Amino acid sequence: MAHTATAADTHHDAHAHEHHGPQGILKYLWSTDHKMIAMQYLFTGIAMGLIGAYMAYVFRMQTAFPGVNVPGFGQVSPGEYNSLITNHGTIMIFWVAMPVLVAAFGNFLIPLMIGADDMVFPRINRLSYQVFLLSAIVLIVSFFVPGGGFGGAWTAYPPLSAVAEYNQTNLGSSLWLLAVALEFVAFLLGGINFITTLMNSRAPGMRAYDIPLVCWMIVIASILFMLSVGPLIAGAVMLFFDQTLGTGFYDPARGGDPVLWQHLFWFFGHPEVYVVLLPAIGITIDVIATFARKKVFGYKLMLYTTVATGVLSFFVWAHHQFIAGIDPRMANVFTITTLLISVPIAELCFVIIATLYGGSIRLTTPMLWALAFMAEFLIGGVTGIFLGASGADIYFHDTYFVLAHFHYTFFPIAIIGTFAAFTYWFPKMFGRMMNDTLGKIHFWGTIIPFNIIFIPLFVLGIGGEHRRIYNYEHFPELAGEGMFMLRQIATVALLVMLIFQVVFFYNCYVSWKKGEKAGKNPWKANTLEWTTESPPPHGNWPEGLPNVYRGPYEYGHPDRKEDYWPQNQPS
Amino acid sequence: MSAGSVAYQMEQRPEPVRRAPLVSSGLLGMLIFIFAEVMFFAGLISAHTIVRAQTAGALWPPYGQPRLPVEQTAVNTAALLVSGIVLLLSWFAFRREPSSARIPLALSILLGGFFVYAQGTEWVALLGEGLTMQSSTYGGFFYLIVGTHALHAVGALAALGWAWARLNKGLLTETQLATVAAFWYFVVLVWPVLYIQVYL
Amino acid sequence: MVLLALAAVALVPDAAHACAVCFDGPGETRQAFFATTAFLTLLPLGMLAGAGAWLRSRARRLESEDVEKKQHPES
Ligand code: HEM
Ligand SMILES: [Cu+2]
Repeated sequence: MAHTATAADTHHDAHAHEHHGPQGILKYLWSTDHKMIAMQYLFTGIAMGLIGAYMAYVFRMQTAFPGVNVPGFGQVSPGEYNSLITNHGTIMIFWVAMPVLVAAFGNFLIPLMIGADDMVFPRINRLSYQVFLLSAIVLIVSFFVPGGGFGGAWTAYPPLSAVAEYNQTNLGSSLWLLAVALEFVAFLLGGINFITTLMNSRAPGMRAYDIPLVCWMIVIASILFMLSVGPLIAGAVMLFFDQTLGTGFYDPARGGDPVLWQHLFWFFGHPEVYVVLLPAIGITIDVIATFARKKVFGYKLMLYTTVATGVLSFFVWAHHQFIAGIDPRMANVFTITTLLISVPIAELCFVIIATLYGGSIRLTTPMLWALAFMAEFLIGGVTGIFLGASGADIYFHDTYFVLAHFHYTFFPIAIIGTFAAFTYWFPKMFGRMMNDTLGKIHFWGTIIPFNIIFIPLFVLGIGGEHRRIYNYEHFPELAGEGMFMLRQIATVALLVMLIFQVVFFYNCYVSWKKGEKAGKNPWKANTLEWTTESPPPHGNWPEGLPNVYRGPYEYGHPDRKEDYWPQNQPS
Repeated sequence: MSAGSVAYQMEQRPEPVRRAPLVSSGLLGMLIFIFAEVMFFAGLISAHTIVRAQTAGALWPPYGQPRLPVEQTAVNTAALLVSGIVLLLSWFAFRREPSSARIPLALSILLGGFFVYAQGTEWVALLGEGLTMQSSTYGGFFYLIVGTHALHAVGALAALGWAWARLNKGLLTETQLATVAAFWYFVVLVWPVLYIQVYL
Repeated sequence: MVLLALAAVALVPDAAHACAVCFDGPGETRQAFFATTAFLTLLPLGMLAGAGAWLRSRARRLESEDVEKKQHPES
């Protein structure tokens, strides 16, 4: 460390914008450049996604073929099964959806899209990633400690999660909780940066309504996160003390209350789903506007709708507790609010459809992903309304119907949305175009199996199949041949989908090595990130930050030769 | 701007200029952080309210658990509030003439330090009387809530100390003082709420 | 009106006694859950509204100062 630091000092004045600091791998870990931090988040997120996918593979094999010797894992014990489903959920939400959609794209896009040279607090940004990396390491370590990883579901309801005699994972559950808490700290630090940067670092001339919607969405998501995470951290501290110090906050025998945890968890839990949803919607809108060559229909409408969604998202969380013995009057209020929140969501869908209407659509790979997001998310939203009706939910709760519902929301968000963003901004990130044919093969190879995985799960859920069960052979009503066949269809589709991801990684590799050079603006898009080199140099616009003269979606202006009008062009 | 043909009627815009931020970045970042912190304490307060309601009011504090020293803590609370007021004075002093803020700022830190110290001695006494985190949820919440507040107070005092050191070197900027002070106001103002919630 | 009607519908039902999950702790706990639900939900929205109003008034003030500066360049 000391040595590298002095080495950097000796050529201090060489270039004002050159990057200085430790060399080698530390250079990456110690960078304060928002693009580098975005890459760190992106690659860590992808790596964690692979771990999560591996877990899904293992426990789906066990569900569909009980007792099978899973290739690459071996026999799955009940404890391992619980630990796998728990950590699969935890990883996919907190270590994939959040870091990739919010942190990676937020870090990459916000400064570039608003015409800033970096985040407002670059060092806090770096700290955010380091804490995040630490949290990921703690989580991975927790799988291997004596007793195994935590198996009390990603929602970690006490008393199961609080008492070591019940969950049998003394150390695993504490480390799991610690990892989640660290991860929240990382995103608190990141969120402060996003909000402040958007407020204070915009390019000259950029007014509130000139900000690309994806930036707005990420920032609104950060605000939601900031305002909702506190109670959960409070609850997590109490749970941690219950686990490690033997306090009795959630222990009814000692005057505590287990439902209290659900209260605090879901207060965060529901806004959290909007925290990941909003960036994905923003990405979709931006991609669709570019490839429909049309102005976004109702920019302000979209923005206000999003704000309304954000406000409402604080009013719906008890729909996760309809079965927890909450007051039926409260259940009714939350049924109504839950149904209400689907109104703004539907409005967002109509805005997207109206944007598409009459556009000159180019079906590139990112556009396909964006359209697929809309189509698939719609199914997730509609099934959410079933669950939101508290009467229906008494039956549906904790069945595979719920599971299929939230996979139809989370998968479009975390996977489809990410692929839309990744394929759209890949030229900007790496300076080369992705192969479109391979991209389309990967697209269809992901979308078709995705539906074949989860549609059977809706059917199983309606058939009464409960979640989180190790071996359905132990439940005669759920062990019929038809039910097992549906499970096996889903599992086989999962295998197919996983195999098709190889195409994606292969595509990334060849495109990164030999792809066609992208140039500054391969998609002929308007927003500011396309006005600098690909990949953008340190400081983003070394020759001077851009000015902004108009909104981000001026496509197809009748008086212009070209059908786009970059934000930074005076006329 | 609405969609359709009217959208193409671009309005005339003034030449772009870089505007000064509405709120300086440091202060804004701190405010966002404080919002998250407020929610954190709101979570603790909610938890406390619910668990306390569990006992239907009658058994709070539970049998055999000591009563909290309400009166002594009232004195500490007063010290903390005065510290906040003195910090406000130092802010006005700083705006007039930076070096004149030295004494009020130091006084504010000392008062805050007294608060933390007095609370610490109170803890020692209560531990001696058998109130621990494990002895009851009553004790658990007491140490949890008061303890997290104490941690915040210590952190905020360290930040104020840093500001004071910079002030002595003549390096302190207005934004820095505002940022650090905002956090101290948060620590000061959240305390009476916690006091009412936990002690009364 | 519609909202009022909805609110009425929402507040009327009582525990359905055939429903296994319509029971919880003593009345005080219910009350406490109600109160903290309202508290936790309204607090962030209140803070946001407060911050929004504050930023807005600040923007107005800065703007009017700007205008004043333009009118009296010396000051
Ligand atoms: C139109 C909007 C939505 C409605 C009305 C809705 C409604 C619901 C309801 C009522 C439940 C509880 C079901 C039960 O546990 O019995 C639920 C569960 C869930 N929803 Fe949604 N939802 C919506 C959108 C979303 C979105 C956008 C996401 C994710 C980004 C999401 C993720 C989840 C998750 C993860 C669960 C299950 C949590 C668990 O128990 O493990 N939902 N949804
Ligand atoms: Cu929800």
